[in-house]
Amino acid sequence: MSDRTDGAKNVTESAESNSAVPFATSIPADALPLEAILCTEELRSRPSRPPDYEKENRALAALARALAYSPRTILQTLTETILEITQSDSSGVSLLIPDGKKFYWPAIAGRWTPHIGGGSPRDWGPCGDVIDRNIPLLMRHPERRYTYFLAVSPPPVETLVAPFHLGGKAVGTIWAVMHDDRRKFDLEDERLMTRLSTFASTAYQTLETIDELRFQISEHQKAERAVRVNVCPKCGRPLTQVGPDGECLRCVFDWGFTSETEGSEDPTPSGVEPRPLNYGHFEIEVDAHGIPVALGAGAMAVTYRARDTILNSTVALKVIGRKLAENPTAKARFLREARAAAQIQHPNVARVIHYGEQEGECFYAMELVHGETLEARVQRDGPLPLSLALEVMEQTTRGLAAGEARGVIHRDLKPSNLMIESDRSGQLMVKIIDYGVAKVMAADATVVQTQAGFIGTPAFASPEQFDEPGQQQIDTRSDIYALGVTFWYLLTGRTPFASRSIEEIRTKQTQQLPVEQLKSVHAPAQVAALLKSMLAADPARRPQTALELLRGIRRCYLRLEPAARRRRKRLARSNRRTRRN
Amino acid sequence: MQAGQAEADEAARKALATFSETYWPPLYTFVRRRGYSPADAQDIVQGFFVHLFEHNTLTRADQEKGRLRTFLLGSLQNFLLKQRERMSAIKRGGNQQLVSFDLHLPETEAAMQATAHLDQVSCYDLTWALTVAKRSWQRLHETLVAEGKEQWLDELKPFVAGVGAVPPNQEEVAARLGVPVASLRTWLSRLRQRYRELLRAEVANTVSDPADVNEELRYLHRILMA
Repeated sequence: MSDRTDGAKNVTESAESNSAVPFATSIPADALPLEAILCTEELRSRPSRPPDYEKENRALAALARALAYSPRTILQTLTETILEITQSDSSGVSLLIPDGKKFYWPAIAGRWTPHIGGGSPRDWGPCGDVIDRNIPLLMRHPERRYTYFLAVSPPPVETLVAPFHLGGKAVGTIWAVMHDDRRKFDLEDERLMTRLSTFASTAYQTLETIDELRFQISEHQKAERAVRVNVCPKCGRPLTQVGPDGECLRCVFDWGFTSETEGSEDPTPSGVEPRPLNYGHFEIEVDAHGIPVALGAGAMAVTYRARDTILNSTVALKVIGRKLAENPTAKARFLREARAAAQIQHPNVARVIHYGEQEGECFYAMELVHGETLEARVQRDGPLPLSLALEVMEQTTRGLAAGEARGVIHRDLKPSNLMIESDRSGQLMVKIIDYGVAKVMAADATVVQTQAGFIGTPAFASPEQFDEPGQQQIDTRSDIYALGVTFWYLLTGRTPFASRSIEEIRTKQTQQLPVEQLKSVHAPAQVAALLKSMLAADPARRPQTALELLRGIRRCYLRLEPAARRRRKRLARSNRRTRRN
Repeated sequence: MQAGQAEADEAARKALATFSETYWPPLYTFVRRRGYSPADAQDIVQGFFVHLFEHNTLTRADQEKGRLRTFLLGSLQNFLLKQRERMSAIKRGGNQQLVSFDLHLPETEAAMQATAHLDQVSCYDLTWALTVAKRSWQRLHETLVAEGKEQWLDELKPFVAGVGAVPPNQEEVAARLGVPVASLRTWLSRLRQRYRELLRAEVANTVSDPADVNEELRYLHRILMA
């Protein structure tokens, strides 16, 4: 009863806060009324399955662990839990954005995963209606009222949406979707969603607390820096008078004077002592000689291993070259791409967690993957077994789908941009790194013109990436092509069009694929066919979306299924017997 | 004859102007620490330099074999004692303008504020030492710019003094310049040698006995590193 009273209060608050922000309604005049799709009451009459508290508690314990170990992916873990315990086809979290006009979908699991990052209008979406009524609602064919769902694939049949609160105010929803009639939501699902919603509120509040703490710590550090602004970073004394470039004159004098008294040439001039190298609140790790630990270096950026001094965790810190950072267009583009990449919240994409600028340099921090690149793996152990290569492909494609949904293209997919690590259970985990960076570089033709304006890695690039900058038509299909070359490399240990010059690669791309390489590693016919389609010179003949590619990869799996495997083994055994006889 | 005298006066005046441009910050700091407002302190320092010019005092300083640092401070203290009696007479140094304060006044003011914990004399000495360091450092710049080695200096400068938050790395800088690390170290060593010479020359200008250079350098170093 008290819940209902609170709920009513929330509705009033919500209505008030909306009326305070006038905006044009997006409800079309001919929209079907909400009642036409609502069937929440049906839940009471449907036969309900018995609760499985053990499973439910296990799932919640796993969620709590996820919150403790990787708070940034908690929402994603939550959606996966919804999917699991409600046995639905798709699930997600929607959060109201600060202006209150729209919900965005920060986490989705199941068949709607590609729509991650999408959104729905506040006043004309299931989430808005649920928040206004402040109770879980069951909707049947919501696309009949919210017609924009017609474009969403696969279409929803039933949607169960539950509100969740923050500090007593509804700020979003969690939802589960069925795409067919094989099972209908029941009262047990409503109970589970309510319980998960309560958990989501707690989790989210914890995250808010963490963010608030981070903010307070960074403010504190800022204040400390302001006090120390007039102190020489080297000698620690006040910068009472400085040289033309802000040099500490005490250090300058000391530098000249010390050698005077020593009267000898110092082999290690002062100024090279190891000391912390900071970018924002990230401290780059240095080795015993004070040299930063670089994880990798490209033409435009260097990636260091760094420590987040606030959360006390290790991250990968990418520092973009000064030259690129000096170009305002490239810099703005870099920020935009970093933002887009930061929104790709997917287990198979290394997340961008912080962006900053310091003394003319731009940097961003991303999740540090404790593994190795696929390039290093293949160079060390040779080609991967087919099952492993397919697993890598599937996970990469899932990550790609998440990027596709955000409209972000990788542009430089290759084995050295795919990291593999093992999760706690020993399961293989693929992480795509460097999302969006290649495109930023493309924005500044004056900086990167090493190969006639070409951006990327020639051996893995699609034919259209070699076109003149103005005429390039680059979309996901380019990434699919690059993934095809990567797949080829994983299976054979080499790229199909290995060559010394771009011209030669371009010519080879339009010719017959060197399928004999695949035969020598006994690649099954389905795999060869998939590779052929991914490596089609004409983008229109490749899988058109990441999801289509995923289906193709799944078909290859069929061949690896236990039954098929047993069949092959039997065949091999009988062949051997025949030979012996 | 009169014209010749006027020319000599003009030359002396120019020399003193250059001199005062260099050494006004420590004097100004001292007067400010005595409790004078910025405007009064500027008036007093201006008046002090005019007084030096009119009485030909600097020539006497050379002859009396002493240190410019202590000589100027002593003269300024005397001047301050006397100027109370004739404050009105030295408004803006009479009609004369020897020092232009505008250029470095804010930083000198800031330096004075930053050394508020020191006594007046230590404050003067510190500002003096920084002035010497700055002047010789500027000389090094000028010399290298004249030789067309400005860029070279820009790369090496961070090794000398704490500029920015990022510490330089010899390997990285050497790679950027396209030279072996060993060459970079040689350059740094040469740069240091040149700065050392300029620093000595600068200090030598402020002492009448060359034998005092080392002692004065040590004193200034101690003041700076305190």
